[in-house]
Amino acid sequence: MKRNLENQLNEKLQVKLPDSLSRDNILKELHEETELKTVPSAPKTHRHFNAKRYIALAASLAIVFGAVGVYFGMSIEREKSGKAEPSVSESADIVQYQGYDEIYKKFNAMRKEYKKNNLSNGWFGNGTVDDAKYATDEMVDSAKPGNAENEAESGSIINNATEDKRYGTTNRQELDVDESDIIKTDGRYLYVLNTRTNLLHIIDCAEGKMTPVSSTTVSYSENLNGESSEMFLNNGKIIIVGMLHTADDNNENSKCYRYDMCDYYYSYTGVSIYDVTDKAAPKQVNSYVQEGNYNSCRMINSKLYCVSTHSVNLESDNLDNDCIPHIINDGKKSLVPADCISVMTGSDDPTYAIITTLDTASENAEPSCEAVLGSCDNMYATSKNIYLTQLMWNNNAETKIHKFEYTETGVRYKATGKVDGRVVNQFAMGAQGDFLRVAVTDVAKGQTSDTTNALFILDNDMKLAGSVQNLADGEQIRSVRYVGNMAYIVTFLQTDPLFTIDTTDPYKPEALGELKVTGFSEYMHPMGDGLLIGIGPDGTESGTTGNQKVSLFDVSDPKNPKELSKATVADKGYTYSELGYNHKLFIELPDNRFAVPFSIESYLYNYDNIFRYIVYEVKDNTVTELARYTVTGDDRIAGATYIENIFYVVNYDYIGHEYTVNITSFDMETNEQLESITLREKNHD
Amino acid sequence: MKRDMKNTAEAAISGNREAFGLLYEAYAMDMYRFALSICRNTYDAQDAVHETVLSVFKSIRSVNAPEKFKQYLFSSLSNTCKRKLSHKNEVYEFTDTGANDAELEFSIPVREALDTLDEVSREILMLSVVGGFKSHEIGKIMSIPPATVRTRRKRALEKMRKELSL
Repeated sequence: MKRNLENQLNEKLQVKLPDSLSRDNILKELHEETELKTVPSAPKTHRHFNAKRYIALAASLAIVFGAVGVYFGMSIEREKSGKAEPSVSESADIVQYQGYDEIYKKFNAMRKEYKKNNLSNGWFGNGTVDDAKYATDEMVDSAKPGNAENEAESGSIINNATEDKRYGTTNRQELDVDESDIIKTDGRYLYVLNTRTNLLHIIDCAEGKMTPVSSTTVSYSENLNGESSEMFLNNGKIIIVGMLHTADDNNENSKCYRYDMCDYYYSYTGVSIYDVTDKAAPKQVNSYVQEGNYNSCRMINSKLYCVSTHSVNLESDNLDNDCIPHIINDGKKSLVPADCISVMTGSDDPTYAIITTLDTASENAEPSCEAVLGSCDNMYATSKNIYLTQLMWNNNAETKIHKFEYTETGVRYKATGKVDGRVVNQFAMGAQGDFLRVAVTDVAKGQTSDTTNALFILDNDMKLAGSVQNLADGEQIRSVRYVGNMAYIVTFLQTDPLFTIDTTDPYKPEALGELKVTGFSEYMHPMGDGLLIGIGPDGTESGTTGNQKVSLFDVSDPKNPKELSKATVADKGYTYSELGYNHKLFIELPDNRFAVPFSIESYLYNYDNIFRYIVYEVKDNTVTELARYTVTGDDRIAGATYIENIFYVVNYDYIGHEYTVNITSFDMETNEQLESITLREKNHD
Repeated sequence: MKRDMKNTAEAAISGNREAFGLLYEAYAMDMYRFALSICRNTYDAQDAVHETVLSVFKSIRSVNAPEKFKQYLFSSLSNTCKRKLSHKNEVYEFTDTGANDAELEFSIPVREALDTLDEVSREILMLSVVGGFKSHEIGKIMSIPPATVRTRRKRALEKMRKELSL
């Protein structure tokens, strides 16, 4: 039936092909413009370069140039590279003004430029898109922000003894910084957010039997509507963040002026906090909204940090009013104070990144606000700092990284660094003491060839300390993981080099080893004891196969990384894993086990997809498949978690014009499916 | 990709101009219609297709997998169309190009229906309906998760069904 609709639509879209586009005309044009050479393809040979020599060369260059850290203001000059021109340096001032007058001036100047060039202020770029804004929350009793003594090393701990492993917790990049998700559990109840219907479902899982207890419509303040994105569970409260828009969808002023992958044109980000002591009747206890499209959020102890990006409309009739970002709390609109706004004087992008902080533990707390005139694509947070990346296209890709520190009441902007290239996702960054490691791919605009990769290390002031460059020319970074003082980077074009880079001396990072395997990893997870799991598309020498694989790498000897074992996931259709887009789908289980979701898209043209959560065990240097938990449905896998010995798979579905949530439980001892419940829109009253 | 197309693609990649021409012909109409939906007028759409074909032809040896040729083509075309848009003033409405060229454009009801979709959804819809790509392929071209593609595609189709009374 759906096929018919697409066919019908296709018929309506029939047009006549213009003469200029006939084959003959095109061939004529090609003949005039270019000459076809008949020599065999030259560009492919570079991939078989002796990589070790390359790495040694890059490392030695890093040592030589590391000591000569040149920079202009806050721009980072790229170290010696193959390219001719130096990186762009701007007049690099970041200022905080005492009052708004200077900001009005800046925006009026930007408007003049904009009208002069008659450009839309859309920025074209392939910033990484984090569509998966899932929220699951758990109580995290961990280090307070700014606690310099206990530096948790990035991702180095699995099966952390201090965590209650009786039930699942959201897979986090930094163990002491909580991340939001759409599934959370406290060991007895499941909390599931249906982002399609804006419902918070609470399910009692006592004795392994699922009993829905309540379905609550999430409401936000100021009569704004929208979609809830994800949530935290923290100290008996559910904290939900959503993307809201003003009532009039056609209102020009509520449109987003960035040409990026925003889902809809949202103008506000809403935070809504519910007390869930009474599971049958969650009660809203606090809420506020901040301007801008929701980007990401974190929680440390009871403090929420929420990031949104807001593009000011330079065509506004009331620019002075509109150019200062605001939040709305209890019906009161509060402008962000001038000294909480950091302006990059050389920038011409009228977009703000806004961070609000709320202490959810104190009643009637009011959010504090900090903004930087410079937007945000990715958020990385440690217990010491928040880093926001901003991707810019200036002939080449450039990433600015805005650094914030924590204060008593919120965050404070500290500095901005700049590197050439773009980050793949939040895992491209990893703090090490006061330094920040960033792995980037530098891509020539609009092409997929002509790329190179690098690891940059920035110091406390976001200036370049050291780097390793020219890694895997012609390839792109697919995944990064930092474990202690090591950086693991996976690049891919045809075969998957896994690079091991020692960052013990941040001024002289060293690429020690490289492992080439077929396929590549989209996500890596440290298992401890020098073991690393990599999950991603499987491949042969000529590319990917449409299957997935789970690899066990031994990186205990960084000069000789090895693939110890590999489990393949092959099915009757194209298999992929949403894990590449959303690391929260990775489920850590006790006793060296974990579970990963795979989706199978059948070659038959239908919309019913198969999702399998596959459980693996790492034992005796082997990764072995233990069980497969399968569900089907339209729409997507939402995630999973476990309580004691029961594994819960959650997927979104679309049944009879209704958006539903399915939860299926499996016994992890017998691997049998126990029960399946469907939570519909009409369930709640 | 069909077997004979794969051979043609391989020949094109290794430099055979005739093969490239055949390949182009197979995709020309779909490329033009796709470009039309983004550029919104026949002149820009024709330009975009021209530029893309030229650029792809020049860098044809860097296409690694013949079966990915079509993805590569549309990915490049998508970038070219958007780059064109960034240099325009009015941009966001379909423009009238005169009675003679009417058959080179979508009908007015179709244009109006497409206008009700946001850029991202429109592109997903066109890649699916006109390009014939599956959701994971669209995901690769647009750098968004396949699940998002499916959701947006479904909503876009429903919207079009309503607007065009299909």
